[in-house]
Amino acid sequence: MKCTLCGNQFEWKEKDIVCSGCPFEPECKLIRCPRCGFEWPLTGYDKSVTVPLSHMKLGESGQIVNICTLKTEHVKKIISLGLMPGMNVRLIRTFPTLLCQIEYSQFALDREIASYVVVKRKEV
Amino acid sequence: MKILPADCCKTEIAFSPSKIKQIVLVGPPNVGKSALFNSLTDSYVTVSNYPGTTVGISKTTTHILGNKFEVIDTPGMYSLTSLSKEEKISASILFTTSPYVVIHVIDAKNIKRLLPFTLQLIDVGLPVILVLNMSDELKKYGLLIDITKLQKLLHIPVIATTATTGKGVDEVKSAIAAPRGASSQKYSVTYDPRIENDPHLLYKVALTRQQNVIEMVKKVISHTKPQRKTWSDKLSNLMVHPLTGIPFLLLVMYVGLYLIVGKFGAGIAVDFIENNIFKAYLNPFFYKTVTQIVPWTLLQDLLVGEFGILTLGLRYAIAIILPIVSTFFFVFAIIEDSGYLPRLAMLIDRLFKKIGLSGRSVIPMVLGLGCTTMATMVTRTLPTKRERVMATILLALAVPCSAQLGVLFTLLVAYPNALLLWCFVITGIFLLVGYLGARLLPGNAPLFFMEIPPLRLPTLSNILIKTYARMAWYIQEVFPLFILASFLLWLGQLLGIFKILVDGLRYPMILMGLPPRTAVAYIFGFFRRDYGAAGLYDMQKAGIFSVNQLAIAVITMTLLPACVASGLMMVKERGKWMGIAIFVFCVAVSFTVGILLNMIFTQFNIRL
Repeated sequence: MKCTLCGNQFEWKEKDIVCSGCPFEPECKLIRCPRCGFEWPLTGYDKSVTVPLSHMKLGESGQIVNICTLKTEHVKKIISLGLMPGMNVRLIRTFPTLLCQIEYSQFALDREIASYVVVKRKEV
Repeated sequence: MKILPADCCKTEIAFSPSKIKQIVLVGPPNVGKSALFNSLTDSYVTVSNYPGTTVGISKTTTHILGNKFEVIDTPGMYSLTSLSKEEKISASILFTTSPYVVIHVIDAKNIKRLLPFTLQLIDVGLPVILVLNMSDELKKYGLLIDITKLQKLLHIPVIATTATTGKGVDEVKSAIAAPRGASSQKYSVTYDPRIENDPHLLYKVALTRQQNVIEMVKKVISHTKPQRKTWSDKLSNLMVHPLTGIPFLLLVMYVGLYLIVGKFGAGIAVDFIENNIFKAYLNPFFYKTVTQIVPWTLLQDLLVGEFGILTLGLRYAIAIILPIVSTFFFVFAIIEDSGYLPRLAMLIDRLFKKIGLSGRSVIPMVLGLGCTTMATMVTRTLPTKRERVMATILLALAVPCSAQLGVLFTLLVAYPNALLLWCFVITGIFLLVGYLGARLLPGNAPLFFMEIPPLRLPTLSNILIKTYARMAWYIQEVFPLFILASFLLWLGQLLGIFKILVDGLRYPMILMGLPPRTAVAYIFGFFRRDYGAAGLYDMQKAGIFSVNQLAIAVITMTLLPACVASGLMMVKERGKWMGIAIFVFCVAVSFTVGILLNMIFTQFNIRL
């Protein structure tokens, strides 16, 4: 298994250790890297379908399908900004910070927050 | 289902429920709550084009269709799951008052994203009226909302408005005045904080609300034509791209700070008021009148003496400081109304991350170039304590306020080397202290997220009103201090304390290589940096400084804590000990830098 963010190689079993105690676990379709903590969708994971917001291509559109983080502060932030499943997003800029169009407003976001937001790519 | 965060209602601001029926305006930042507040009450609170303008609470009583109401405007908040201090304040108002009506103001085009909060408000049993503001923009985005249908689905009054032009405001008024049943719910369950901070649960609840909203929005919204790329999108791109954004920032600083505030405000305007009005007419007039009317020399000194209230306090405040501050507020109003600040925040986020801040702190920092006291107050919009502390330290230490900047600039403009050294040292200290602070202060690196509003062309009337409102605030805040400072200096001189202080500062002055008389300016400087700077200005005119000495004096003066008012604001915002610690820290850094510079100058025999 290889982390899609930091490239760390790890064993499948290690995933169980980092995920233990997680309330999402039974229904979770994510895998979490034991080194960097980055999570990405597991089952049927196909980069061409779902991708973290932070890894979208410039100018690409999609719809948010999931939020993947366990940090309360981050969850609160994401909820209050309305980065919720069902929202349409488009990545407008990637530098110096991410700028995305969420429905009809634009938000500047950290890469960190964006990496918790899973987006289903819009078929072109 | 009713889930409230446990920490939402505990803040130091207690709101006593009053007998008058209260109307509370809530909603996300930058959707026009303050504009609606103004048109409901015919009063003025600052309206800007960036999130977080309303840092305090504005409230006023007004008559709506014959009934008396108290209207309360709150800082922006996205949900009851509070994050920043200002959001907690807003939440606390909702739960400590028992509002007659809660008006939830949202940006019409974003109902899909913002409606979940309306559901949350309805959920907790508040009497909500939903206002879809900025409804004039819907057409531009090719959207159409069926208001009647939405009203039926939500079972609360829904009104489309354009608060800036006043459209729909009458309907809001009649909705407020319409008879309603008693608030449905008076009892509220306090949940275990563990439940309310469980990310899983929070998320599930939010998700359910969001799904409800998406279903609802599908029924009420219809699309017409898609939006097109406009001039503002292009300009916006220009502002945030580093290659074009940095030159753009320099251009803004050059035109705004150098040309308008520096050349016009600190140069032409100060020169005119100081020489043509005060020196030529007012001061001689005051002197003549006072010496004729008041027989006692002591009182004469208090009014028109060396540190006289009229000849020094009034002159500094009106002739030197006010023109500079006003021009700055004018420029700042244009910048903030255009929506440039959030874009600047984006541009500078990476750099600010290195010094323990996020792009969000750009707003207090830029405002700090105008007035440190005001900026210190605005630091409460920052999400974490760590950021708030860092921003306060940097503001107190290395962000010169416009009044001071103007005076210092006039002092240094003739000596480009000294000006360059000043820029270099201040920027260096800013980055160094920020960098070290980021390493030493506990806590995580800040997260950055900010709504970027569309660029808008500022309207002249709004800019003028805003400049006026800030000037009025400034005069209220500052004027008494100048008078007080004059009085204390007079008293100090009378009792000999002043002489002791000057003597006490003699040694640091010598270490910094400055003439002992400069101590007087530093004592002014403790009242207000700009006051001190104005003192330096007088001394420079008398020609007692060499260029080296001038550079050292100006640099140390910049590093001193801003003024008594900002000191009080620090204590108020950061707590007593933290406030005092920051104050002492700034003084220490200031003198240390002064002494070091003098050592370097003499060691290497540098002449600027």
